[in-house]
Amino acid sequence: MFLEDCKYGNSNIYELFHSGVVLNCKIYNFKHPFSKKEYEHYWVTNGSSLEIYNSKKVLIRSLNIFANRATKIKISGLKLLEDINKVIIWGRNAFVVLDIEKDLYDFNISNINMETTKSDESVDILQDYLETIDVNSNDVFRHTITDLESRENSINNWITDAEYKDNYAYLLTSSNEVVVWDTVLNKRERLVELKNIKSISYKGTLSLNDSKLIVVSPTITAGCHIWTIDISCKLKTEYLYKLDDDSCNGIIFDSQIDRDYRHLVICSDDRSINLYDFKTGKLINKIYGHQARVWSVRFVYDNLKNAYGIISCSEDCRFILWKFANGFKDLTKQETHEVTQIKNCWSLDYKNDKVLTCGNDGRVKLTQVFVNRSDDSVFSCQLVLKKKENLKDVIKCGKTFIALSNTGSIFASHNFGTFNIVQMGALFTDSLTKLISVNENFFLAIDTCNKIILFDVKNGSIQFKFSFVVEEIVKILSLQIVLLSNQLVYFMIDTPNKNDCILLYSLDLIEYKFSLSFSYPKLQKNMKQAFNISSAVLSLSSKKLIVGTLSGKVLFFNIEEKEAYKVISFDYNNESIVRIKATQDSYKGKPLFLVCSKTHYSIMTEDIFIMTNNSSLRIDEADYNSQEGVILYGIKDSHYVQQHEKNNNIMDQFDLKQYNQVIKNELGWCGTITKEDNNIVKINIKIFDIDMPNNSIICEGTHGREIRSLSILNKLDEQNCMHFITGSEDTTIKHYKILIKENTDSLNKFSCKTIDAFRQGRLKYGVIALKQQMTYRAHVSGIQTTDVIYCGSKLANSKYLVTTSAKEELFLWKSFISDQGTHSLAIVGILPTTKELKGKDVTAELRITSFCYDSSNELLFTCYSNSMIRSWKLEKKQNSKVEFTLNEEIFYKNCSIFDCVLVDGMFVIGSSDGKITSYAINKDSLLTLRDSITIHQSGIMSMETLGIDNIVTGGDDNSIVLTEINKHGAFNFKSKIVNAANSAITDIKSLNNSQFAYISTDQIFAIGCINKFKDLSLQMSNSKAVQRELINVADTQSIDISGNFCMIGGLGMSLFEIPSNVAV
Amino acid sequence: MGKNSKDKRDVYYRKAKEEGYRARSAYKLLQIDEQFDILSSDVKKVVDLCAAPGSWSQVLSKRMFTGIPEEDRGKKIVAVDLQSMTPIDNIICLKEDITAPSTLAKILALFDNEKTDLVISDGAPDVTGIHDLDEYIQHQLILAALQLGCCILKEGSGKFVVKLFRGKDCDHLYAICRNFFEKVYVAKPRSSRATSSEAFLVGIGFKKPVSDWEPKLDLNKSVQEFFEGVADFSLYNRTGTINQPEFIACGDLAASFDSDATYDIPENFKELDPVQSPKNPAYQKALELKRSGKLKAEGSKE
Repeated sequence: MFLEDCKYGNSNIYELFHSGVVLNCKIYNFKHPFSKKEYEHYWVTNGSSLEIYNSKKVLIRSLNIFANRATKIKISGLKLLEDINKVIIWGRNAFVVLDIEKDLYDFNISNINMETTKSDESVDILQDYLETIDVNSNDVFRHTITDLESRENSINNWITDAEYKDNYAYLLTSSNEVVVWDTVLNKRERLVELKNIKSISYKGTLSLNDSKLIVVSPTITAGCHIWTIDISCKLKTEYLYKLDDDSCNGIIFDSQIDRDYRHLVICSDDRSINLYDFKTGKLINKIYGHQARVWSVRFVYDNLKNAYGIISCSEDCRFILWKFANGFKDLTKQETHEVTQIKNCWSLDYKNDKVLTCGNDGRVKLTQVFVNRSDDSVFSCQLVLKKKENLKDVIKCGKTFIALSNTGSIFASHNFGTFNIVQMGALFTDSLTKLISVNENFFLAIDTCNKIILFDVKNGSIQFKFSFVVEEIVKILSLQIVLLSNQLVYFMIDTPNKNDCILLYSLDLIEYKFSLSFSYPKLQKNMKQAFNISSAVLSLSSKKLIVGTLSGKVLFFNIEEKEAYKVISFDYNNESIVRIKATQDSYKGKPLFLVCSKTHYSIMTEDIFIMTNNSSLRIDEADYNSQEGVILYGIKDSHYVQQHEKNNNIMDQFDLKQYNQVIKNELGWCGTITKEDNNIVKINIKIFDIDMPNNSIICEGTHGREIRSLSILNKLDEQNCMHFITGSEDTTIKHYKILIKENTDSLNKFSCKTIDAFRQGRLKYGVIALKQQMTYRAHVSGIQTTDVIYCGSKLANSKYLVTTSAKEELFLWKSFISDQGTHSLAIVGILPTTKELKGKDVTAELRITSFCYDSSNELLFTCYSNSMIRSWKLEKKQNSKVEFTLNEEIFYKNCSIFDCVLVDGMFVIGSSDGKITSYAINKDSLLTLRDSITIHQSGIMSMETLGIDNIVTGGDDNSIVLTEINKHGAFNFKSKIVNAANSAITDIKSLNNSQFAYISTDQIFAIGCINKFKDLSLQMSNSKAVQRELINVADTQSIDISGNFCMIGGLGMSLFEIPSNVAV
Repeated sequence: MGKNSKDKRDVYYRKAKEEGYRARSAYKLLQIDEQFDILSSDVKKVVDLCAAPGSWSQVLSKRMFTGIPEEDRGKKIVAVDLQSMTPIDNIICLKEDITAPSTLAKILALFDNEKTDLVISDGAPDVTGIHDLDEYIQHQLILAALQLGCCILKEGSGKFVVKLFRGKDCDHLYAICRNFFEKVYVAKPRSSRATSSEAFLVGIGFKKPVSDWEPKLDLNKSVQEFFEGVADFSLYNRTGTINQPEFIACGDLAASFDSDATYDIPENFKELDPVQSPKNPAYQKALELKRSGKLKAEGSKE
């Protein structure tokens, strides 16, 4: 099929979803006009849009502020003036002044309940556009309901801050001028400037004190100047002072003056925060706390409006809460929170013990801080010990904490009280060695004489219930609870004697009966050494016992067989299995387990890993449920953290810095002790409540650095879900699920006309929700490429995801869906590196730059940055594993290969010298050089086949070339678009036999096509203008297409609906 | 230029160290010259802007002075930077602001009031990571270089080479620069990675857009005010697809290395010290604190 030409109207692409760097976030107190109730709303700037989330974290409004497609300006700042009900929003040199009530919360227009109780899965993202059609061109234009395009103004220079009063907007520019704008007449009133400060400023500040506009003007070369403009008196300027030259080094990124005009605080390049006396400009203190550049600082006031301190945020992904000390002369660090992934926490807002943050990864997060109150999930109590007595163990049983000292004394504490000694009598107390929590009401103790004692806990009082002596072994080394089943508790007892057996006991908690169920020799036939249990789980339904060992092995037993029928080496470094946990989920009918070592974890059945991942923290404890997925607990940067793996997010943390020692971490809590004088021990306990974590996510976002490659894993399924992955410069692979719904008449329930106009427009689909499924941390360096390959019969026609990065890393992943419908990925194959193949160190840092899979010959081709091409045979092994065997290794030349494709039995590469080169694949699966021609001036960044014999290439030279290849592999240069973009064409994907989509680094997305004469051209509208769309994704790198949808990744990502005239 | 880490990856980085250049960017200028002959023998007066650490000045010094008899020379090179620079033979270093009229006056005095044949700049501002802001500031720096160029370049023959990143609004910058030269090219040397958006704007044959325009540097004027009436700073002013400057890849690939490729490090390769270490970074104090373990400590005092 060939199109006559590409003159088509209505060929615009429509962005359905965008997530990118979020530069601004604000907490807004929304007062419901009818109920008069106050709600916290969260305002977020995302590209050119302002998004509003309600107090339930549901997106209720998305307004395209700078809707002009020819300039694609992103919002760089906004100033919220709640007292006068205005907001000024600016980007580059453009700005708009909006009325909050009328423009953003107009109930007549949107007619929606701002405080909907629906869950975010079911609420449609309301995009407030009005679409009009240009009669001449048939082009569809988008307007926002507030008719923003006509209200957008622009000045000559980049805007760094703004203020507004009495119909005048005041705009500070990067040249340190203040533009006074008359918002009634909509014109520039005046330019106010001072001499000698016109050097570039990255960020200045305006603040209005009655009729005095205070200007903080940093310059790169000439210091930072403070001056005022009297807006009530002919805009008279007054120069106040220049900050001490030597007080900060480098570029100033933010500044703020406090409400009382006592202090000025600035942050800069040199990683410090400077506190000045505002009246004199003298430096009061210079503080350090961040490990990279500090982007923003804000004063914090407590609820009584007293100055509390400041909050700063930085390139190092953290924000720090500082408190004034020493009579406002010093600031001390109170709390540090890591809130952004990989890079840049850009800005923050504070209200009522909550900090809202946003960063490079597009994540907007709400963190609880403690300005007005203390953390009620942490409680402290004291314990008075005798001389030479030490604390040995602490456990939690229901709400009671029970402590054991080395002299055998038991202490109990209920409802955050102090610990009281429990009188146990002399029977056994002096020989207790260990406590084990069973459930809310019971715990076990072990003593030195192999006695196991059951205690009952009720309202903080502890009662001895029952005891028995284990006689089968010499000494009890440890006791692990493996199953709680009604009134029965099953546990395993380990022993230090390697010739003994490990015992499985059950104990009836009501009848107080115990029985030895079975025993397993510590020396197993197929193992060199005796094993020690570190964690175990019992399943009565499947009659299986799964045991994790101290040396990183996992053993599978049938309950009544002495020998393990299967042993897996789980931890590469033979480190202990921290936790084995049974889940409620299954895969192909077999139960799934969560297995964790200190560094990595898996979800697996006894046969197969359906998810494998490395951890970013040293795992201490782990939990799993179908809804939330894996939750990890462990220490990171001197905090004990609770990490949500699905979102790669710290849900809650406990600062360990002030404590001497961590005594115990169990699921859901962590305790520390500080020894004080007079044998007093202070115990601090932090409770991690999974349902009420201190931190929550408003908006998920993507990666903290550029997405280098993305791949759609499946087409839109029956549940209207699409799964895709993104591989980033930050070394991780993220897996997402996106819910897309076709727009139907039922959506016209919104009675307002504009929404109907939008819904009846040409947009067929709406994005409802995007959810991260997992962040995979398998690669050690930035991702280069990713793709889905479809294998031949040797590999059972399986589908795999392939990901590559530097250091010759190539991983083969298989996608799994649990019986409960959860998608997950697990690595099933790892490509051998040159070092592994040749047994010698490779001096150069080799990168796999591209690969492709030939399903007819069942060969995987990999291309490298040193001109090497390798082909591999793949073979399926046990448990879904795939092994690679090197088939051939050749060298192209001495430049880098950037991309490769298979065309009609030929293997074709594009390289950094601008050439394409073809190789025939012979019947022995070996390559023979056929042809090589120069088609680009510099590197070929991307290649794609179109139809049977056409190769479309995109170059670093801004051009796109069509080359024909014949069945002998000979090339025939056909046509070229010289200026397809202003920068490198980074990716091309075919839409059908004659049309393709491409992207370039300068944020261009366009559709190109070939006609029957094999002329290349760009898609045009009816008005004959070339349709090149500027998109929101900067550093545009990767594109993938599935059905009517197109995903684009770079710094951020976007989902587009493909024009209706393109046949996909 | 540091030691170690980049050595493994970058062939030009190793080459620069071996050949005594202060930065790998030296090869970019050499390859641009190869293509455009910007350092032709008739080029006598050259201004190198944002010159530190000085690799482009090193190239100028080598190419314009090596093997040329003293009496034939009559050549002068001025390097300007806000940072101080280690001296280079045949180069007059000025530690000045390129937007200041006094700098212009100093250069003109050094050139005996004669206009210059070539203005080059390999400068790039510190990047924040906010793409749009970084691109804007980069454009401001290019325009500051162009502003000085307009005051100092020979009409008709003056040449201009400046580094840019091909970002979203680069064709807006092209549209502005087009007004000032007979021909404008976008040059990509082989030594600049294809995987980087870096390129060089090459202007040949400086001309005034309006014949009676008198460019005048003034510290109290922004670049927009300087170019008032001769350049359109509206973001709609773009070259688009029709009027784009020609893209030219430079450097002979057969004779030079490919910066994107990985090469085996020769067995006799020694890890060399950088030719010049970074001078006083802004975050030096923070680094010292971190090294001494004080940054992470609870105390906030210096």
